[in-house]
Amino acid sequence: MNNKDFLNDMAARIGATPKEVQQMVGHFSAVLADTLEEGDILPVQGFGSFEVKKKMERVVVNPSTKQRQLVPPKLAIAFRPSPTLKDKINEQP
Amino acid sequence: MNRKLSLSELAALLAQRQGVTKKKAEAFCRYFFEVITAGIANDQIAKVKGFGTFKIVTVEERESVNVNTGERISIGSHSKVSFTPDASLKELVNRPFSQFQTVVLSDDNVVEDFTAIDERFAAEQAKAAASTPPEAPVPPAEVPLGAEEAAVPADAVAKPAVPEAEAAAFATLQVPNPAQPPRSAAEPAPPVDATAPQEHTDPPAATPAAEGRPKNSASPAAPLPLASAPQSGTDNDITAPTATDDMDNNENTRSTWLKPLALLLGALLLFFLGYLAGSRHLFGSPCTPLAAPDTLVTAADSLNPDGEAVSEQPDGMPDAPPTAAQAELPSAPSPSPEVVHAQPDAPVPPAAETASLPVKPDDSVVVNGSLGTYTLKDGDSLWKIAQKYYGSREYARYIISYNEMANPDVVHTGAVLKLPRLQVKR
Repeated sequence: MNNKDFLNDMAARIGATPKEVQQMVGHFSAVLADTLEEGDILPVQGFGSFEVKKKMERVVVNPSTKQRQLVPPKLAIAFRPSPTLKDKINEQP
Repeated sequence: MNRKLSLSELAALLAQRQGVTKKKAEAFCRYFFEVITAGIANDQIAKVKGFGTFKIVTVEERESVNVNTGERISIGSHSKVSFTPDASLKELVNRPFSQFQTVVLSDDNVVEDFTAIDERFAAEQAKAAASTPPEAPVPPAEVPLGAEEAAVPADAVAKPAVPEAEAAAFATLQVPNPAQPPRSAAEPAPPVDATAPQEHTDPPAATPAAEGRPKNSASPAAPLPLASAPQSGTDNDITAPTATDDMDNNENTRSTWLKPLALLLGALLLFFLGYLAGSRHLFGSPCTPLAAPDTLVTAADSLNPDGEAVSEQPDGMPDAPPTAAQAELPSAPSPSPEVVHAQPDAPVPPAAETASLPVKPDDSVVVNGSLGTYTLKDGDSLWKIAQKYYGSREYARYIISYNEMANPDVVHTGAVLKLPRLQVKR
């Protein structure tokens, strides 16, 4: 399922044009990021939960050049699927 | 913080933000995840631009160990959902840390950076330490002060130190003095004895030697007192605190009126040391323009075998001439008044030189090496210099020729003259 399919599907369901849906997705992402930034968790029934995890800074070495780089700390969004989603996926062959 | 959002809350925020009805936003949120679920169920993948990609990943069968029993179990192949956030979502989430950038670390700059940070940290700590206990540095400063003043023993310790310094200073002051007054006043003071025997060629060489020795020992000691005086000063500082430690307890009352006294004493000592340093500089500098004393000694030694006037004194000579010369040295290049004074009693200065040379230069006198250099001062003349160093102003022509002077009638103050060492031809 690519983005086009997704937009068409969503547009059909909520009664809007795919363009509007795309805009809504963008705003949804922004709102989600704003709220998750504060350490909140967004659990979605039957799907999974989204949360923000803090990754510590670390030193990485480029294997080919042996160059060492200090990667700064960052906030990363993480998704944890719910058991229902897992079951649903796994019951399909 | 750390609260669980509900989809409806999110929908409310979304509606507020985008300006759509709340109903529409809620419907969007509900269907959003339904569609994604359906999508990954059908195509194993669901891409949503501006949000991320959900994907079904199959995990192969693997063996593991039951942690409790230690049995080996196999975990069957299964699928799991992976979510890769879109770049835009990543950026949005990471906005608070967006100012950080990946830094390339080179081996050397790591150390420098860390040491720089360490230094800054140490400096800050030192500053903090200095600011927090302001009383700490003060007591040490007070203790020595109060110590010196406080106790009678402290005074007793300090006093021996002062006489020492005084004696030393006295030595420095006395050394040049005996040499100067006798010559200017033409008094038969002890220092004159050193030169007198040479003129008269008296056999009792022991006395001039004896006379010369103490002076000889005193004049080299002249630089030392300065070194010893600070030492005594430090001794004073060191011993005083220890003494006060004992006395601190019962002598507090006394310290109140002893303090000004000791302060005065210290000020006097300081003043005296300063004067000592100044006077040493005054008397020490004149030595430089002339040849060093030992060159004069060698000159005298070399002259002795020549069998001229003074050569009758075998052991008295080596000692006496240097002392005479040294007694002369301090005053020799001093300003004009002394030079004028020196003129009347002619051959006092470098007695050995003078004695070995004829009163008037003739062909038998030759230049043999250098005696040293002489810096001209106000009131000096070549005649005077010749008079002083060679016993007769006639010897000025040797200075002129030795320095290859084009116009000997005009010499300028500050000019450096080379003084030839004159010798009688065998």
